[in-house]
Amino acid sequence: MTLKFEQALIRNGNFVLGPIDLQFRAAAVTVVIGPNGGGKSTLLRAVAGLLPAHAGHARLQWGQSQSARADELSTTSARTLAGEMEIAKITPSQRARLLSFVPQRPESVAGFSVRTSVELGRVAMRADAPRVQLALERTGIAALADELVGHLSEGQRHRVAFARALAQRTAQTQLLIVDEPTSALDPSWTRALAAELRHNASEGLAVIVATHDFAFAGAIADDVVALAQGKIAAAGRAMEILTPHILQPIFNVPFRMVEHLAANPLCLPMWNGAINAS
Amino acid sequence: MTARREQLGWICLSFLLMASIACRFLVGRDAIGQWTFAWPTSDSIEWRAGALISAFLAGAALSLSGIFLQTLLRNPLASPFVLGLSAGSQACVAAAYWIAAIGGPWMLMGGAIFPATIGALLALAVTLYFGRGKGGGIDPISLVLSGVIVGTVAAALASLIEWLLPLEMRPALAGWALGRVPEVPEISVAVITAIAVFTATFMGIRNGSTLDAMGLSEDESSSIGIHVARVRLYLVLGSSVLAAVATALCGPLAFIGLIGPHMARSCVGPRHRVSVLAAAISGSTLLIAADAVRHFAPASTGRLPIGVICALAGGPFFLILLRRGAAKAWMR
Repeated sequence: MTLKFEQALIRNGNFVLGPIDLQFRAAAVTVVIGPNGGGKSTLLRAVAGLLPAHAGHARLQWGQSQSARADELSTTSARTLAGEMEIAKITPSQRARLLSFVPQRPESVAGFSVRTSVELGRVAMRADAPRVQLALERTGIAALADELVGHLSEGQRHRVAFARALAQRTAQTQLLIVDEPTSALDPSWTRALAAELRHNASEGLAVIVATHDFAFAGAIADDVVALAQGKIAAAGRAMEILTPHILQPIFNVPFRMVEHLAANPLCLPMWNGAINAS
Repeated sequence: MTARREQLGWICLSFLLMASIACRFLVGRDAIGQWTFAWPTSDSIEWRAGALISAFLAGAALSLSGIFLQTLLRNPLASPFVLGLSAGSQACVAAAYWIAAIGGPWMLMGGAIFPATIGALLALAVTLYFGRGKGGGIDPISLVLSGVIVGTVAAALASLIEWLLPLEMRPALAGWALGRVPEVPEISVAVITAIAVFTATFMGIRNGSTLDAMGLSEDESSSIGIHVARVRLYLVLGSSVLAAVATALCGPLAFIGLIGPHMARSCVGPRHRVSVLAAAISGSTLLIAADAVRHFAPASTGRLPIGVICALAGGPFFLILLRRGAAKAWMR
């Protein structure tokens, strides 16, 4: 499976993203970076099929070898899905099987416990209590399962939304889309989330994550897409894009390569500690 | 909400329903207008049963309409009264009376249920049109605001039409507009209301988890497989028809559609699989109880309109919800 954007123009209110050409690889983590208002959330919503391409195409394509899997996807419209399909035209129940989406600011249903909220991920499918339990454990909220979501902290509620996305996974799931997951997480859960995203990629999913956290991006990215002012400023393998000479002009702050325990050095934003107030 | 707590909630709700039915059945007025508390005479037994049926059906319909609107808007303050549906029905029924007065008595066939439905749908359509968010989706906050305005304008229209009516027709319409629980409900209205209530309860229970998922943001609910636009359309149609039949039967009643769903959720929890049925029962209980209570008012000037009781009891409840930040808690 590949997800391909061809000259896609995406409108989100007054904001226009594109035209963009992009391809997301399966079994890889693609990190989307860029300044505020650059189009990260718009791109992620388009990837999730929640915003249609106004012009051009945003298509899911199935290769020959995987057509059998496409047939399993749905009894009624397997034929249309076997070749390629505009992702925004997929019906909601097929979408639920194909992809999981965690928005930047997840919402919770009033009065719902953590477990009931996570179970909502299976609303269009067969209930699956073991999978729900697994999702709760992987996100570290199993102990909170009977708490009301409204009583939790923002970071914990983020984990509830992520657990719902994990609970939603089926054998057919191809995409995991997560919008700025780390902004409310402490370092230990940021690390756990990074491991979880890598794990999902290793199981063959195309994982797509928007973030401002460059240490996090450097740790998980296979591919990087940098968006600025609704256009692709840079796209390619992480090693090529996460470098000072590419990131500096996009974000307008100095970046520096930092040696670190893992194999690859990280490219992090760094500026002089003294900030001139004038 | 544990299973035990839910069980307790059901027991509580059934007890309250039974108590309110018993109370309404035993409370009455004697020949000089003093209230009595005794087994009804053979004359009045039919009237009290009729009033019970009216209140049971209209209360359930209003409360179901309320829970659907609250789900649609993800807003605990929504109800058919707040969004102008009741007033819309009222205005169209008043218009039907006016047309009937100038020579079209067919307008009032079936207890004006048809114009009431048109009115509720029109009011909700206008409310939705002006309450739409930028992206074309429904923005809960502007929707409630525009609902309040639509309701006010529609109520004023109803008064204007009432003022245009020939004098001899005004009392019937004015009495209805204050809210009443008919002791001899029109059979057609009662049957249609019963069908609407039964269908709505059945569909609500059957699609409980879909309605649960409507509590998430639009992006989330459509990514977990909910056909958001379709579910919204069903909720709009369902809540309009329910509000309309209740209004045709009992007049525009405030706040039953607001308190009913809250009472249901506090008893059996927020999952629609259980709270839809509980909301119907709560609404019935509330309206039957209100109908019983009004008999205790001094009778020198005739019976107290039921709408007064509903507004007096429901208004403060709305304010308490507002004070407790219910709307904010819901949006988190």
